[in-house]
Amino acid sequence: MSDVHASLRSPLVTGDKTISDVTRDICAPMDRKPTALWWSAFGLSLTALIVGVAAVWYQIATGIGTWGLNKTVGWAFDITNFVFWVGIGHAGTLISAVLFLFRQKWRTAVNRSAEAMTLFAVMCAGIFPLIHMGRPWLAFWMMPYPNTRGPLWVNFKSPLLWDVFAISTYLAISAVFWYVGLLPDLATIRDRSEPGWRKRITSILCLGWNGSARTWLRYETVYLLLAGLATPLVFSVHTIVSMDFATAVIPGWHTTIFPPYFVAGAIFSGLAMVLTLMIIARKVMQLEDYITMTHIDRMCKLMMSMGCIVGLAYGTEFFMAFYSGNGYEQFVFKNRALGPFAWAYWTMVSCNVLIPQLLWSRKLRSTLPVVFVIVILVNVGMWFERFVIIVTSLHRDFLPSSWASYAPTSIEIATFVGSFGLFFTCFLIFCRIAPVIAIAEIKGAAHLKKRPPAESITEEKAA
Amino acid sequence: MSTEDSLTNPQRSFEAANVTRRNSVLRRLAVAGAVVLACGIAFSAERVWSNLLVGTFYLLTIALGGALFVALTYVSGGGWHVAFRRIPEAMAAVLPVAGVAMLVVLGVRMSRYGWHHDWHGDVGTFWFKELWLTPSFWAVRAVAYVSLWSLLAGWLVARSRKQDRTGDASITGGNVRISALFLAVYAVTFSLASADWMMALEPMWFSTMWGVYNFAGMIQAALAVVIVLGLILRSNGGPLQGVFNDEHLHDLGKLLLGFSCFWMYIWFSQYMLIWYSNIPEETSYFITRTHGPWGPIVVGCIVLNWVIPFFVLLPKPAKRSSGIMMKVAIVVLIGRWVDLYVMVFPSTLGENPVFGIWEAASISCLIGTAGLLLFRSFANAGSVPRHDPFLPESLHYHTC
Amino acid sequence: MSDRVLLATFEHEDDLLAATDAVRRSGFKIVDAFTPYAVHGLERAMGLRPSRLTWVCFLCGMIGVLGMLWFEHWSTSIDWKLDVGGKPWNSLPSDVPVAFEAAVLLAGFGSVFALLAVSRLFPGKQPQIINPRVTDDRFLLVIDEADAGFDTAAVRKMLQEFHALAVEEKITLPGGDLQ
Repeated sequence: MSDVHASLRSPLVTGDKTISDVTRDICAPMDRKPTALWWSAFGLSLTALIVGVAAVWYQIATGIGTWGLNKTVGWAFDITNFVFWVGIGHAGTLISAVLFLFRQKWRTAVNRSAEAMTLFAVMCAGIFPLIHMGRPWLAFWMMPYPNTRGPLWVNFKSPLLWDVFAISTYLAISAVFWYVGLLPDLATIRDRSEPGWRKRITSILCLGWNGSARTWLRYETVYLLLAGLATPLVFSVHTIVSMDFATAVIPGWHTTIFPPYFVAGAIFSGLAMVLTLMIIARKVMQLEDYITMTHIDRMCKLMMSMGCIVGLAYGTEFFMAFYSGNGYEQFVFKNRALGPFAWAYWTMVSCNVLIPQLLWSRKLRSTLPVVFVIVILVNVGMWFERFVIIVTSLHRDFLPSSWASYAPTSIEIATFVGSFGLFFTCFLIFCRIAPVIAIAEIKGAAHLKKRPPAESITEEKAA
Repeated sequence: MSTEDSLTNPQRSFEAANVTRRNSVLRRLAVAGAVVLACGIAFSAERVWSNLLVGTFYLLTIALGGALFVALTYVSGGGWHVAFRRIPEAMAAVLPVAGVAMLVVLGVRMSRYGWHHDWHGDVGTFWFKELWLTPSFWAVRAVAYVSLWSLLAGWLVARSRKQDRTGDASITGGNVRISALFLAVYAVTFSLASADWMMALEPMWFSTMWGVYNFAGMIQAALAVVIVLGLILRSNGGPLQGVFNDEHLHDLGKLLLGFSCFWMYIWFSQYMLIWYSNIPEETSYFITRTHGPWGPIVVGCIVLNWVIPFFVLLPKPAKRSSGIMMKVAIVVLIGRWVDLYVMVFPSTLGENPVFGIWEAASISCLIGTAGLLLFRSFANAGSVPRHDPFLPESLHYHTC
Repeated sequence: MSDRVLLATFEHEDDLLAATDAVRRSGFKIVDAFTPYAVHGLERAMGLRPSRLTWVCFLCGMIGVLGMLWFEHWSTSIDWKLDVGGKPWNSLPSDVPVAFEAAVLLAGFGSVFALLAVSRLFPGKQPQIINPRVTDDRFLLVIDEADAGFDTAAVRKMLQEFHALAVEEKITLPGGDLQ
């Protein structure tokens, strides 16, 4: 196929690789024994996870009274963490689906790990509302099944129920998308493994994939369909999350821009997390030829533009609060910027809007330590964004006599730490057992080196 | 090969007779519409002005949408669109004319904006609104928006045309930076402009989504215009024959489908949140528009802007068919007019929708003027950016 | 399909595409091709029709959205009427989000299961692997030796023009597997 490519384009894969080099390089980390670095990271994550499990065990046994919530601030740490984790997940879908539709071929280097990140982040997110129910063992009541309580159906007019449907659909579709993407690569692992447990497991999991062109045609169609479905899905999920707030009449929560603003914020925070993981992974797993500086550069630009959109939304909210003439709205925004939680507000503004502006400079975008610090700060800033929205709007509401403050308890912090433990434990295991880069996709997208035919024929005969 | 032909002869004139006929039809539409509207001032100045507001905003947002398309494709590093980039560039080049028309229309009836007579005595929590909508400040802002857009978009287009003469590939890199600047300026100024010119028609109403909503409608209509112009310019030996191919059409179809859905998403989100919270100061806008005679028109607006494009463009062959794409693009352009009609008319003319000779005349004038301006603007430059480094990629790529 | 096939191995997608195109133009029947990744344009070269799975996806999506809208309407305004915040029993705007999710869920799962069914992919399937390097870096073309007039030598010569690394004859067993 004689695709014409402009000379301005930088190569997707550097280092003059052949097709089989790609297979070998990407599968290499799975064949090696885990390094000391991996073991120490895994130990740390597992410890955090155990702390989280203990905290969750304790709070379920004791009750939600172990949290720092009070009459005024009825949502705080847990919902902040919920929205934070859902948001992290969205970049995975953005990279795998939206960039696929826009034919951004560079996505092939990062989509697999970004999708894995989506799955794990959504799992982490799901934990928080589940605990918040107080009686998580009755969680199945949220499903509309015929029951002996009437049957009393679930309340389809409640945004919280929309959330149940949105998050579970998102988890299911992301998992399917990820697995369908893995099928050809699982077959690759099957065919290159020596007979043994790995070959047996991958030959079951790859569902008998044999690379037939007819299957590839259908596969590509379904992949495109899934991308087409996942794109509106990712919008709908964070839109629905934003509606948890925006359908209320609470000043600072009820504002119509919330749906697109939350989606942009989610993608922003997710890209920051993808970059965090990628910068570490390419170094540790020696994948610098695949996840190149061009990839980092593209993601930085995308992240910065999302940061600007988020900044515009902050500005719009502030502007409209004053333009509207609504005294309560005006109070909430003055209180955010100048009240007791002003420190959180300004952390959010500096981390999300001001600091990412540094990425306008190409020089800084190509300095990895700087990029790393910025993405960590964006992660922090986006957590604070949710905290600011939730807590500052609640802690001083219409009735000054019920104003209160909020501080998390050690149990809440331990649960949050535990969610990081779950996320990184899953991610580290994923890096060991699955190809972190979509092998079949990158082979199709990158224009790899051709070897002179004579050389290959000799090789074939020797084999 | 026809591609090579049009590359070596970018100025190749297409069938002269066709062009003359087209221009004379457009001129007649424009003049007839303008004459009727001018008479209309004597009968119903209010309606004529509302029509002019819709028409000029329509034209301005198409021009701005063209500039936005150019800027977005530059910064995203896209190469697929280069072959027909002169179309959105032609749209962007209309910005100064459209901007001046907008300023004139706004200027002649600044008093139409309710806040001129709404404020008496103590302003209380409305101090910011009073400050923001001070007539002189409001007017200065309008001039500033229009000049900023015209300046930046003009710069972008001029440099792209310069590349035809100099063949300097570094112009592309520079245009990426100018595009980033344009986008940053655009995002802020367009949100404010849509609030100043459209939202302030009902001075007590507000919605933070308003800027995004206007952006969605704008980009959707601009895509439809690109499709219509592309199809016209490639037919009957036009300058883009063999250049603007089915692959480009397919991709534009996907984008149109996507942005139709985006428009619906934004429309629904804004409506649903206001409906759900049911706060009187916000519901006023939708009560006028969804209850009573405006209701069916709003439904029609949704059908034109989303239902038809969505279901028609979903199958792949539809996006590669000139006939279907042309029809859908025209439906979207009608939908855009209805969208602006629903935005403006209930605020200026009240609860009963009106459609008669003045509206027909304004639409005729809009089609004529927009057509003449866009075709002339396209003819002002080479029909293909022949030294753009991404051009070969754009001419040979295959969509999936 | 006759019981004899010709198997050509290539090293590059361009060669496979060109060879496939040439073989089909010469009037031979292509059984299948095996590639390590989705080769763009191969479906055109092989003369395959576009997949109809998009229709499955569309139908599942429509069933999802209409079914859920009906269920929301039935459960909240017919079976057990519940006043929520003074909203009408049958409130379309608040029914949309869940109906949308149902559409996506059904469309996604529907098209994936249809793919697996049509391509006969299932856990535990033991596919016939002609060359294990086909999931790594080899491209295979399988041509049907349809009639007695099939000139193996001529086809072999033609394939070698496209840098075929190896061309071999195989006999198919009952059930379509190759020996």
